[in-house]
Order: sequence, then structure tokens, then C-alpha cells
Amino acid sequence: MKQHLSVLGLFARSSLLRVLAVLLAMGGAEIFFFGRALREALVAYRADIGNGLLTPERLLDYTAVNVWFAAAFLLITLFLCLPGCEFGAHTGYTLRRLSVSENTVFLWQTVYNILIYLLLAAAQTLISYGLCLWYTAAVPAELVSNQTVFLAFYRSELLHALLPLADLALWIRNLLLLFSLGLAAALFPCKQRERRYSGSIIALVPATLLVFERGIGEFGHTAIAACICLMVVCEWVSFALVRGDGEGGEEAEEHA
Amino acid sequence: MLEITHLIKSFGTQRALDDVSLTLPQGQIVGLFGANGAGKTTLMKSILGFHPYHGQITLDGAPITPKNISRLSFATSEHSFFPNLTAAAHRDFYREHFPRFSDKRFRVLMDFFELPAHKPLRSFSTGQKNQFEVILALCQGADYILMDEPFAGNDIFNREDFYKVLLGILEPHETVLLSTHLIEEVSDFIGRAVLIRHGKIVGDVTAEQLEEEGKSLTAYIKETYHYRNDRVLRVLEDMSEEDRL
Repeated sequence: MKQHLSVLGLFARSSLLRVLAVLLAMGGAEIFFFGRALREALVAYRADIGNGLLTPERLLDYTAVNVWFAAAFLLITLFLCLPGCEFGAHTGYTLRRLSVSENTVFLWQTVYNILIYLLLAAAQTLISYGLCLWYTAAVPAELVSNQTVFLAFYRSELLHALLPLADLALWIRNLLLLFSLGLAAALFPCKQRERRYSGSIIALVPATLLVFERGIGEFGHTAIAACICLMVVCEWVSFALVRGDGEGGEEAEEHA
Repeated sequence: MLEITHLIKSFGTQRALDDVSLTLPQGQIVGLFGANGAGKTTLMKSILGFHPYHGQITLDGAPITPKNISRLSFATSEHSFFPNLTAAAHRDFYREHFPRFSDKRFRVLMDFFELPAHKPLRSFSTGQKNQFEVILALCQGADYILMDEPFAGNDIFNREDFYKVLLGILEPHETVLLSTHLIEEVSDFIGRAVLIRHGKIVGDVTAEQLEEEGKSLTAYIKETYHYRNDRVLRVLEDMSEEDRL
């Protein structure tokens, strides 16, 4: 088991600090801009100019939380794709000689990627929840009810996508996207080591950004996510088969 | 014993290794010499299973598989480490995967080459990267250490240091297969020289045989390679004749 954990550790050591830095930057930016927007909205409310911004979901939209989240997602995807790639060294020479197989390395990289994407989603959910709590503490009592945060998570497309509550289709879509992203980000270095090109992650990133934010009841997006997932799995299977053929061929040649 | 029998490796229609047979017993330092493209790297990569091939390569009678691959280590000028990891992180990682990893040797060599333990390898100079690559190969506890041009980019002092250290630390059961163009430099410490040309083994001689024949390694290689001393002179003469005309 130690060997397996060390492979997980290899990927963590290669990217975890960068990922944490991105999450910190994302959180910092969102808190800063949300605070500024909240102050401006409160000034406007007190001056009786209007209270158009005074719901947490509108403030979050105004803060462009989705843009910060998308930027963090892009950077993290980049950091997950790089470890294991042969840029500057032929890491494949080492990975092929480990006490665990290259398939196991691939599996652990997929698991690690999924955990990191989960961390990103969890961080964004917690930051958003914290911002909502900040809102409830900062605004006048007449603007707040005990349903304010709950409603924000229903009304905001980003928050609802992150925490779909009773929306089962969205939970399924999120799981499919999570699995596809983790797999595609692990396929990229794996294929790069064999001088092959992996298109999945390139297609998956914009597709995820397009379908991730959505309102209630849009089941079509779950179907799109399922198609994406199927595409990534197909690439994985075809790669495994080609590699399997190569290994088989090698053995056959050896015994020839 | 590492035994290579009738090894054939082709890239498309080009035959990179042509019926190579070679036996490497434990406890030798073997120099592998040949011109660029002669097949040195292909031979090493075939031994390690990185290339599919025809023929047979066995380690103590057994084919090389993930079960016994840890008995072979590889140092290459292409580098096989993880650039984002520190030297210390490499030590921890290799320790888990190579049960015979020598912490002591790692520490001694890191101190000797004065390499930083907590800086990512991507920040190392080329010479330091080569040194670290060699350190990793020497510390894995492998019986057969394959080195492919490990000093490309290192200065002469660095290389001299390394040769001395290598001779000092190798255990009697460890075999080094060293591919290099630096014939003069390694001639004093290799015990055997294998020559490869156009994918074929064209020479295989021990240091004792050379001593008995009173030949230097360079002379032997030139002779085996049919090196013509007058080649350059003839080209220069031809050119000057053309100029005159």
C-alpha cells in the first residue's frame, strides 16, 4: 500500500502547492470584490438609491464569482495535466520501472485529479457559503430571513450547480463531469509520454465551462455531460487497447 | 548474469540492432562504444523493455519483467527524474519502489556533489541534473546500472570526480554498462569494452587482453572501426586541388 500512496504523493508533491495557491487567490479575489460590492450596495441602500444588488446571489453575480471560479478551474486543470508529462525529462523511463504498474500509476493520477476537482468545488462552495453568511450579518435585518442562504443556493446558477440540493439529475451530471475531468487530465500526460495526443481534456474544459452553470430543470445538460463522459471513456479504452496491443506485440516478438 | 541473445530491433525499415548477442556477468564495468546512431541507446532501452524487439534478453535466466526490473537501473542524459520534485522527495519516492535503495549512498553522493536536497530539480544546472540522474541510478540497489552518456554537459573536473567516486563505491556484484564517447577518459577504469557499429557488435575485449596485446583502447577502437587516419588529409587535398582548378 505504501507504494500506491507514494504514487499519489508523487502527484500531490508535483501540484498540490500550486493548486492551494490558486484556491487561495480565488478565495482572496472573491472575498475582496464581494466585500467591495457589499459596501457599495449598503451605501446605496442607506442613501435610498435602491436595493437592486441586495440579495446574496446578485452580489455574487456582480462580483463575477463564476469568472474567478472558471479561471481557477483552468489553472488547476493545467497543473493537473503537467505532472507525468515529459517536459524537461523522460519521466516515463522511471514510471515504467516502478514496483507498481503504469496502469496503477494512471489510476492513482485519476483518483488524485478527481480529489483536486472535488477540492475546488468544495472550496468554492464554502467560500460562497461564507460570503452568504457575511451578507446576512452585514445587511439590515429586514433584508434577511432564515431562508436567505438556502434561496441563494437555489437562485444562483453557479451555487446551485455546486450544491444541487434535491436536484438528482444535477448530482449525476456533476459526478459524470468529475469522473471525466479526472480521467481526461490523467490521460493527457499518459499519452504524451508515448508521443500521442489526447484531445479529451481540450474538448472537456470548454464544454464543462459551458454546461456547468445552469438553472433548475435543464436535464439536457446532464445528457451532454453523459456524452462527454462517454467520449473520455472511449478515448481511455482505445488507448488501453492500443497499449495492450503494443505490449502483446512485444511479448509475441520476444517469443518469436 | 544479463544475457542478450540474437537481439533484433528495427525502426520501420531501418535495422537499429542486428542480431546482437552479449553476456554481462555481475561485477564488471563495461564500456559501450560506437559512433552516433550505432545502436548504443537502442540496446540499453531494449534491455530495459522500453522498446519491443525480436530475440531474447534474460536476467539470470528469467525474462526481464516488472518483477525483476528493479535489478536494473538507468541513468540517461535525457534524464528520467521528475523536474518538479526536490532531491529529498525523489529519495522518499524511490525508497518505496526500490527496496534495496541505499540511503547511505544517496547521502554520501549528494554531499560529494554538493547538490541541494530541497530545491526542485528543474532549478538545477545541466551538470547538476546529470549528477543527480547518476546518483539515482547508483542508489537503487540495482545489480546492473545502465548509463547512457551520463556526463553530457559536465566539465572535465566533474567527470574525473565522478570516475573516482564510481570506482570507490561500487560493490563487487554491481555491473555498470557505460555508453560514452569519452574513450580516453574511461579507458583507465573500464574492465571491458564492447564496440557497436551499424547495430552489430563488432568488438568485445577485456582490459587484460588489450594489455597483453600492448594496445590502447583508442587504438583498438580505431582499428576495429577501420578508422582511416588519412581521411581528413585526403579531403583537404581534394579541396585544395579543386580550388587550383
